[in-house]
Amino acid sequence: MFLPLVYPEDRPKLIAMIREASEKLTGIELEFRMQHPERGLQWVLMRGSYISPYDRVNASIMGSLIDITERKNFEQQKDEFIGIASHELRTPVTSIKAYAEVLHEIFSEAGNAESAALMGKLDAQVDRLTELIHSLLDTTRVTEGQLQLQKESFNLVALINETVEVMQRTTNSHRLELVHDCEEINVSADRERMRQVLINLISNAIKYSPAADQVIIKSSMDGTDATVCVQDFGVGIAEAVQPKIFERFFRVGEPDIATFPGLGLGLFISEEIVRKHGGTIWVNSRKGEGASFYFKIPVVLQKSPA
Amino acid sequence: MEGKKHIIITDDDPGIQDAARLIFERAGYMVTVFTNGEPLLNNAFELPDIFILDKQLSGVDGLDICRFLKQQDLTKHIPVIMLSASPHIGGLSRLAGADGFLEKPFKMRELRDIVADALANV
Repeated sequence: MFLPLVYPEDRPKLIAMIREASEKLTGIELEFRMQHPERGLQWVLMRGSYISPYDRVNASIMGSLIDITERKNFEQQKDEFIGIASHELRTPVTSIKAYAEVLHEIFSEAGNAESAALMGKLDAQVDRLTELIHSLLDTTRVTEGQLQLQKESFNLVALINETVEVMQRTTNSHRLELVHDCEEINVSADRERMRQVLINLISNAIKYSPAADQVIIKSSMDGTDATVCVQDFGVGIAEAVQPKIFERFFRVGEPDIATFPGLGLGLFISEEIVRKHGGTIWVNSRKGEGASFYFKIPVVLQKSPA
Repeated sequence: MEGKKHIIITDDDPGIQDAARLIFERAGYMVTVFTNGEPLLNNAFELPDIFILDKQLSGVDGLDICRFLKQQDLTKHIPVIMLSASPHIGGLSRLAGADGFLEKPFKMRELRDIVADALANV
């Protein structure tokens, strides 16, 4: 077997995939690194099928190994570029925002409501640009494994209430309803990152349900985990694409949905944030029947009284 | 000037220098702008009420300047607010002894508020 040539860090996932394929007789598709005797470390894509005779003896894998080193290098360069570009954009955007804020104040003080309103709109667009830059930067942090958490203990229910209150002010089209099983769910988590996940899920729910007027946010606890659900009554997500929606830059390619704005980064980042908290995130949805996004994170267990 | 709080802003970006001067002068502060850290390291300045310091200055890490200001008797009591596009600025600022930080891009309102809070706590 070629296992000794496989980069040691990548061997466990390859072995796990082969084991699963042998048990379920499924195909294999995996990217991993191999040590080439002359070219050094190379990325390969393995695609194959597990072939097992009736008596399960002398089973084998038939497939191909494709050198994808060049593609991986290109992806890395692209990621680095996104990181550098997003970083460099931050300083001029800060200045633009400052001038917009000052002009807004000057026009307001002078009683020039029309100009003040225009500066307010400019300011809002700069905020949107800022969010895009934050998303791009977060994406590079995720792909480089640099997303860091600053954990603290807090009541998740209170954070949800606070976030929903702020978001309700940004939408006239949808009523954000809260359904909590209990008033207090204590977690040890990065408050701002959790807020980011909530904002992402709620803003997606609003965006993808233009014909509806309601989004429901629910929380519950089962003793060891807190579960939060954001439910919308919009366009829904076809089952075929659901496995892909947490991928970076993935946006649904259907004509009736493709015009919704966004870079396709929010769910990618949200999944990483939840995963780093030891949690999971998933969706229940059918096309045309809305979507319920769930995430679950561990709670802080209360000590039993002595 | 009598009664006006004095801010020293050190940032090598002309846009940030100009915008910050505009914001703080409108808010009633007296503002001195440096484009690099040399005047601070040479103590060639009139003592301010607060320093606003960019992490990424030409040739010098602003955190080193923060550590310098916080170690010398002349300036250790003066609040320092760090600015940076780096995602790690929070933790790094705390380690360097800074009194606050803001990650770019930020709203000037946020900068004004963090400065006002820092001055109120002196």
